[in-house]
Amino acid sequence: MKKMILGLFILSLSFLNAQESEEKAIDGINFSELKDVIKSDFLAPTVEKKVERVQAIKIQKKKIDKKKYNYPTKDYFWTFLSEYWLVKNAAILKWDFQKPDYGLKNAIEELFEKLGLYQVKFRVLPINSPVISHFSLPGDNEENIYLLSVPFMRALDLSKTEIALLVLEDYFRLKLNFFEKNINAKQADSIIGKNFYQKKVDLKSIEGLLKNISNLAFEKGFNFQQQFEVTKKMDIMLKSHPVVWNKYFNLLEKIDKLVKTNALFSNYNKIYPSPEMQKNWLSPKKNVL
Amino acid sequence: MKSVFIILSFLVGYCPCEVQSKELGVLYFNRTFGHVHVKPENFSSSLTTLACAHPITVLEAPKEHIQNDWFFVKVGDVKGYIHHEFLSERRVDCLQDRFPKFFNALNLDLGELYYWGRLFDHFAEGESKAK
Repeated sequence: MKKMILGLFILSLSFLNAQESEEKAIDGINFSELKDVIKSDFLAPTVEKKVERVQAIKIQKKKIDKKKYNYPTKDYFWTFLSEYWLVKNAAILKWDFQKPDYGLKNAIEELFEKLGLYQVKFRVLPINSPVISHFSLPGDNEENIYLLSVPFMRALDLSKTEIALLVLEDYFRLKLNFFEKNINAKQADSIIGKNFYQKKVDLKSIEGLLKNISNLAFEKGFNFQQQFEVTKKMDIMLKSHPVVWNKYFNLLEKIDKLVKTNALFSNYNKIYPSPEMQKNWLSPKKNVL
Repeated sequence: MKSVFIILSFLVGYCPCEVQSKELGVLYFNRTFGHVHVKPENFSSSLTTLACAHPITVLEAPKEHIQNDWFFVKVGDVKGYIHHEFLSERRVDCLQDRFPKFFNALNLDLGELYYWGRLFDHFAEGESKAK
């Protein structure tokens, strides 16, 4: 037993000695000399290339990583914001309800084509609430979203052409940039297409814009000047189609009567001032003799 | 022996096993969010919510539910229906993939995901064209 312990002790001593001598050997290597050897072996350019490649990959990786922190670009922003607003206000607007196919798609396409407005994309969303009678939200690639209140359409007993005329009015409101002006869309410029790498994401701007849209749709609406411009645009557009022009005039008359008699839609004049004025703007001026 | 045969035939007759539908291929969901529906109808209940670019296995539809505009699909363990317009042969460029950190920062809750998916069931989309 004693012999065995002694043997093990000698073995461990020799192992330690071997390790020490190896370390000494490494210490003894002159690396600057080795560098010369590598140079003479033409390995230095390969090492340099490798280092450069690793550096390039690192830069590329950082770029990709940084790109993940982009805010939506202009091609995506407005569709995103409009849809997000609809999602946030789903409970108020009540658009998630079962309904028949009203055939609005064909009626709108027909009217736009009749007036020579081609390649106009649209998405119609009927809502089951009178809080908004009709309203348009911008979309990217001019694929706008049009909200139409079913209670409003029912109360007026609107025909498909009349509904399409309301959509046309809303189309011009977007075309004339009234929506962007009224929600102060300039505040979106600080984030559209920008990057927030190593910064805090600016959700306050998004919330501000959502609030402004709600304010425009439910409270503030459009001003007289804007309404005048829209009405004049409709007038010019429909003049060469007297039947449609008459339908538009009658539609304004219907709306005017409704908003004066039905408390449910009394807010209409605040948002779109005012059907009565619109009728006057459209009526030919009477000459007083 | 006779009684064993009777029991076996009874079990086979009332086997709860599902009839396996034939897999036809894989397509990708092409809207921001969406739903797998119980029935091939826009307003039918949702079985599950999907995000853009989700791969979806298209199955052979049961005979009683063959509809031209709807695909019978399998997503995970769920089998249901998706409108053909919401499926593409290739992965589409999704908002969530393009701006992932921004989208994550929105912290959408389950209700918002549900509504965002529903939105596309309710849109009537169109475009005026020159004839």
